[in-house]
Amino acid sequence: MGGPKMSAVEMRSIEEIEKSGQWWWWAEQKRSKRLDYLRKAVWKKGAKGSGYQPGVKVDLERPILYTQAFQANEHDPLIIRHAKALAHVWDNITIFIQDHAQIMGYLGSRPHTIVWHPEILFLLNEDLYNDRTVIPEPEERSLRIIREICDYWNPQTAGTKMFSKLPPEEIVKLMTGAIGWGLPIHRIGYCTKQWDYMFRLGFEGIIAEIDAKMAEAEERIYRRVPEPEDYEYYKKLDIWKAMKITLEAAVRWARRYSRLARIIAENFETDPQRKQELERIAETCWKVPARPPEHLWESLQFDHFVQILTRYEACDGAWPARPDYWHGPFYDKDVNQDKVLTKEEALDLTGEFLIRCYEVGWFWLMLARDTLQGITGTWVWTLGGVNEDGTDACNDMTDCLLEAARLVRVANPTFAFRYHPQVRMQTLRNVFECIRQGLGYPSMRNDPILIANAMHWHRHPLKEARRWVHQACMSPCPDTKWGCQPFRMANATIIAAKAMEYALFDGFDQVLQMQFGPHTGDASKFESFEELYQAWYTQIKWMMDTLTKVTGAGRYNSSELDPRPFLSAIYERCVDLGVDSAHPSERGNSWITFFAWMETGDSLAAVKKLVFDERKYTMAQLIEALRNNWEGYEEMRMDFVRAPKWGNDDDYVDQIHVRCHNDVAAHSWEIKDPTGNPWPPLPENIAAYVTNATKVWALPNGRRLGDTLYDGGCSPGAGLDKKGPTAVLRSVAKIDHIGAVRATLLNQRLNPTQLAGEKGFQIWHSYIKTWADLGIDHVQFNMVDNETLKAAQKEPEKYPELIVRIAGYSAHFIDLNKKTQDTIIARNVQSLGS
Amino acid sequence: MSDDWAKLRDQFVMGGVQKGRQAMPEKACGKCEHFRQHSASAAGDGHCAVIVENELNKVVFDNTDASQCSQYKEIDRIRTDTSEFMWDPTFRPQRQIEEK
Repeated sequence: MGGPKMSAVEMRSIEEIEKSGQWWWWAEQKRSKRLDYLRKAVWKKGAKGSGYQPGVKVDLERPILYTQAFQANEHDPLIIRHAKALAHVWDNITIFIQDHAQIMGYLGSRPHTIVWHPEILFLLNEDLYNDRTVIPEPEERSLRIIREICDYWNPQTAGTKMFSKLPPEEIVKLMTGAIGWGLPIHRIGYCTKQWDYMFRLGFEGIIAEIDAKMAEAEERIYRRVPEPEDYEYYKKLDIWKAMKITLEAAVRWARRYSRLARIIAENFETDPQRKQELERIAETCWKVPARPPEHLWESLQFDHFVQILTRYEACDGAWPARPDYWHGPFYDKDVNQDKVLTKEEALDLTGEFLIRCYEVGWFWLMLARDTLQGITGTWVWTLGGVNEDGTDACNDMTDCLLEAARLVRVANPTFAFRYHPQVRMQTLRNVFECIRQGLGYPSMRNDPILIANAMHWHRHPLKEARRWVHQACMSPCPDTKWGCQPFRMANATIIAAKAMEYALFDGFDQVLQMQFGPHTGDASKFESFEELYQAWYTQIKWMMDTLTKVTGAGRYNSSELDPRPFLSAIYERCVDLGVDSAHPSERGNSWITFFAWMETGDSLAAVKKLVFDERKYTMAQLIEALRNNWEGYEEMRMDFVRAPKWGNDDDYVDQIHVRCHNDVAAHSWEIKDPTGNPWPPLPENIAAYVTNATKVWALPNGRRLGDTLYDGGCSPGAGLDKKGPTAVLRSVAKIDHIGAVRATLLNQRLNPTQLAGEKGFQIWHSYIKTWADLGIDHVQFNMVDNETLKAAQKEPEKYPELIVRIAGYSAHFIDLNKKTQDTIIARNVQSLGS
Repeated sequence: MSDDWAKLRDQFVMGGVQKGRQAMPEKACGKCEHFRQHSASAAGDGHCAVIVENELNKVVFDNTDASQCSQYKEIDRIRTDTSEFMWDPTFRPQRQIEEK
């Protein structure tokens, strides 16, 4: 009777597991032993609620090393001090090679650690001191070190300097968290990378370009009497020097991995196969990122190194990438042409590439931890789409990535698929298979619409618009020299439902008890719907102005106050011009994220119907009921809940939503970012529809303070779409997805039983064709039934890899707090084709 | 008015730099129900919701001394579990505050 017992799952056949829809067990059986080991060995770095997972600790090596070097070079210009500090970290931080790993590079000195950047923001530093979960043992010693680092950095963090310079009223209002989200800081952004530049030259090639630039500058300012315009070169020289310091240090850091792999291979490894792997790792890390990649394992390693390096420099909150487009040619060469890699090996390597991304984490402000709970950042990778000439860009690497995602089931990165009418069918089936297996991704993006959108708002030429990637969850940005937006500050994010609250209370914030918005009059005396609408429009314009003013000032001042030498060094534009990445010289790609947006139209429609059309209630009664958070007014509240709602193809309410969209789009053109471009709206929510529940007062759509907000950007409220999926699409299609929004997010839940097998694919495909024909830019699906979700709430240990789509990102269901879990369960399950 | 906002901003920035780790008084703003925590961090920054005529609400910290405040009203319930409570009005993530 000896020997290990088999679990009930292990005794079932793959077919039985497939039939049960328990895809996480299926994945475990299907993936290689190596991949299974790596998947299970990975530490989750995302927060649950706003707390980190047990065992995850903050890494103190990076802040100690960075601070040492920054202190030691205090007479250097700021950008050079930052460059030398980074170089000191990369030269000295502990590195390690995990068993079975083939892709190197880790953010932190140990697998369970998250990195802390004390130079970013005093609040982040104090936040860490207060955190009860991530302080490494012995706690007293760690707290002492943290205190010392805080004391050094707090008076001079990027945030301290920036906040002192920004418009005072606006920055105080932003920081209360009532009207916006995010921070106007260069080191907290979403950075689109320019891969054609890096892959073409490698870091040594970029250094050669910088050397040539510096030689020319020295010629102009040292060896002759400078022309007036030449004096700029003094500043540029410092920037180029700093770029070069970081690029050289990055190459040294990668080569430390090379040496470590060589040492292990030559002295310790006894398994001949692993020895061979380590030798290849040694060769690869010696070569990239110094020189251009030539094989798939080199291009993936190059890519991963760059992502880790940028995150040593700062908190890059998004991971804009188009991996099939950039790695596809290497896959084709190695697997299809030269046959130096088998399909299985490429799949395995790609699976590891996803896991390496998933394990990246840093200590992050509470405002980001709770609104992105379950993950570290919105790492949405772009797949599919078209080439610059308009032909289908799907390739075998696209399929490989989709297949690998099903095997490793990580919640970060997720994929977004650029759908277009010529997309190859085998890839589309692969996309569907990921959705059917409950990953919640890829989200579907309507490529022709978004290409037109990029041309409309930011005048990207057609060829470059076709190169777009997701800069964060949703916004398309070309990854080209002049199209690449080097970073986007998240604080151009408004909590739009507050504009409705302010319109009803004369700009007074009911939650904070403070006058926030402009005075727009006593709403209890409004005599027409138009008066209310105009009050709302004034408030929303004020919110857009307020936050973009702060963001613009942040962007403009960042080059001086908060330069980023490494990020600057990997942009061709910055190297050419000798400017920091914050310098607004790209074509531009700004947007304002609208959290909690769709409550507005539903609230306005309810007031129009019940107060001004039917005259069942007066404005005074409504304001009184709202002031009391609907308490004592339940019957009246239910009337407002039952008023027409978005998502049912009802023109009464839909046209109010359309008017709101068009009016904010019109105002977008009246405000400009530092590149001279407009600020288009982009409604979506991440998990902010939960976190903002206690910040938005009661509203006329029947919502009470504390009730969760609508979960999408154009999704109906949970349970309020009563007429099926086609009615939802018809409502959503009334919005102009090119001219009225930068993008907008639609969440849908589908029935997994209905979508089984070939018939399921056909039903879904037909839905997607309708969605695309209607010109809607986005849709994403949850395809997990409530029975499974409720079972996972009860016994989380049995559902470790069950994934759900939140709003713009996916997360493992068990990594969400109960409040957020319940909101997923509450969404309507749609039956297609009915 | 813009001077007032500038003062608030400086109070907030300098407070965040200096006050975050000072000891928690017996009667502290963070233990009062009028305290409105700012959402950016667990650094203890917030403001007081009590409106004083012709004045902007004060920026305060969880450990600001409230012993002289006539409006002080101790909160009944304090939750500190960061894995569950997100911006619940009773949520106080600061290290110095205990669950109640």
